[in-house]
Amino acid sequence: MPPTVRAAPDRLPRRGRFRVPSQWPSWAVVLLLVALWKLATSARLLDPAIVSTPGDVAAAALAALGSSEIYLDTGITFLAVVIGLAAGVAAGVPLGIVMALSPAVRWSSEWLLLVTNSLPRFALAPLIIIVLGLGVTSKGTVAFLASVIPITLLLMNGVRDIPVDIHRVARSFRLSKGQVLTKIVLPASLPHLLTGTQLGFSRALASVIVAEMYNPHSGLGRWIAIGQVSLDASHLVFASVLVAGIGAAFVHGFNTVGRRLTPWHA
Amino acid sequence: MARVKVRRGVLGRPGFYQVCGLVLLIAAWALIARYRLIRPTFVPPPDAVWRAAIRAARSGVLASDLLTTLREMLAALALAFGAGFPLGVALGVMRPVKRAVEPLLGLFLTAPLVAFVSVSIIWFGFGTPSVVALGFAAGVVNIIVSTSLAVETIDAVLLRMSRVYCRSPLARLWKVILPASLPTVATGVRFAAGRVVVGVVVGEMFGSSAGLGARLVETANFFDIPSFYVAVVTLAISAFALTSVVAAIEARTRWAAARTA
Repeated sequence: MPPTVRAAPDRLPRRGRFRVPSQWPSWAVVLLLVALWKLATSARLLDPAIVSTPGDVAAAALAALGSSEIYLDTGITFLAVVIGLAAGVAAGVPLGIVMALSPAVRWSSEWLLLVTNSLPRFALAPLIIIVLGLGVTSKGTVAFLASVIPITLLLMNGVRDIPVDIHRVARSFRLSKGQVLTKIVLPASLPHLLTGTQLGFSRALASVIVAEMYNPHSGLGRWIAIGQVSLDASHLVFASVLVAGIGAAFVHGFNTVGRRLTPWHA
Repeated sequence: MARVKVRRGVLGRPGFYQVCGLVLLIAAWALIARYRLIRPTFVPPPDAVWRAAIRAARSGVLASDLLTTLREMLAALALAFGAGFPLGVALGVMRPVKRAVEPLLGLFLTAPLVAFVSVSIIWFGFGTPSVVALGFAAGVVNIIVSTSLAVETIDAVLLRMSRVYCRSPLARLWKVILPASLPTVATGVRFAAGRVVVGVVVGEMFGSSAGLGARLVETANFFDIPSFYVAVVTLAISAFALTSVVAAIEARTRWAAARTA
């Protein structure tokens, strides 16, 4: 006898009733952690001078978000990251394509890029800041160095992954090299460019924040440095959580915008 | 482009071009330094860097820094795996808990954990503990996420078979779930190794006086640029070595999984 299939019951939309947002479990977890934090500091299990209490951190947060400094600094950091990232894309795309299409260039330079990719490029920040000074130039350079290598490598792999059959079709249509470049290589490499840009963005953001922490002058890293030297642990905890949160929001926003703008993800 | 010209002899081998690339790099560096095409502060002549490297190696500073950094990286990675793997398996098995925690994990995955370096210093003290803590924090989230993903995406047929053949949930876990999830877990460990490197370097730069990261900051502050480059190159090579070793282990797990399939 064939097995009977029970149709799924229709779910009526709940009108007029409070719909619990689907992410409430994670909010509940966060609230639970904050409550535990409060209890631990009240019971002196954790030293409030080191860990700070939720109330103090919230007060520091309100004070900071009220003034305009934090928004200015966020903008400065974001600007440096975007400038560096744009330069990284401008340099990485031609370099990646050349590396993909020419074995000689690839073999002579890929090892260098792979080794440099393992090194966090903000390690060069002390030297760059010494030579280029404070300000957008040095931060943009750090962001550029951080983003150009992932973009180049991913783009190179992307172009190399174009199926050989497509190249054969190009040959049978007698496309010139320039036409192959514009009609085949560039469009096929767009998804990899997007992935590389997303990766480069998060790396560039972390690098710029580190550069700002190293020599605090402006930007989000300055807030962490300020929090470190202030006698109140609440400033430090607030600044760290804020910078991490803004960073996560930036990366998430960038990824979402990237996905929306690219038709193949639809 | 579809037809790659295959050259005979040494010109066809990648190794030749890699060596050529290295030689060209050093030659270009020497030329730039000699004719001061870029600021001399940025580009010291290669022999100055070489002399600084010999100095650092002879005095033992290089060896001790390298050992410190490698120890911290390995410790952070081991701790991240030791804590992250069980948590990831637990999350992969208990789906409702994972759904609750998933946005938090995503947040930690994308957040620049470098922001927590000062917090780490204050909580764990200046020196190695804070460095390892930061590296641990950087890597553990990656391992948790990839392990839970690995456990979730085990072949459903395999799971059903294991319910038939295994006598207890523990046996299922040990004999089926863990080996089947190994390749994806290994990939996650590889990504986590990269993040651990970032965390350890940041921790050393700001929160330690030993290790290659601390040496970077110190040599830059003293304007000893050749020694700075020695530290940078050593750091790059050791980070690359660590990720290569982890990648090799990951490749081995794929062979092992393919053999048992």
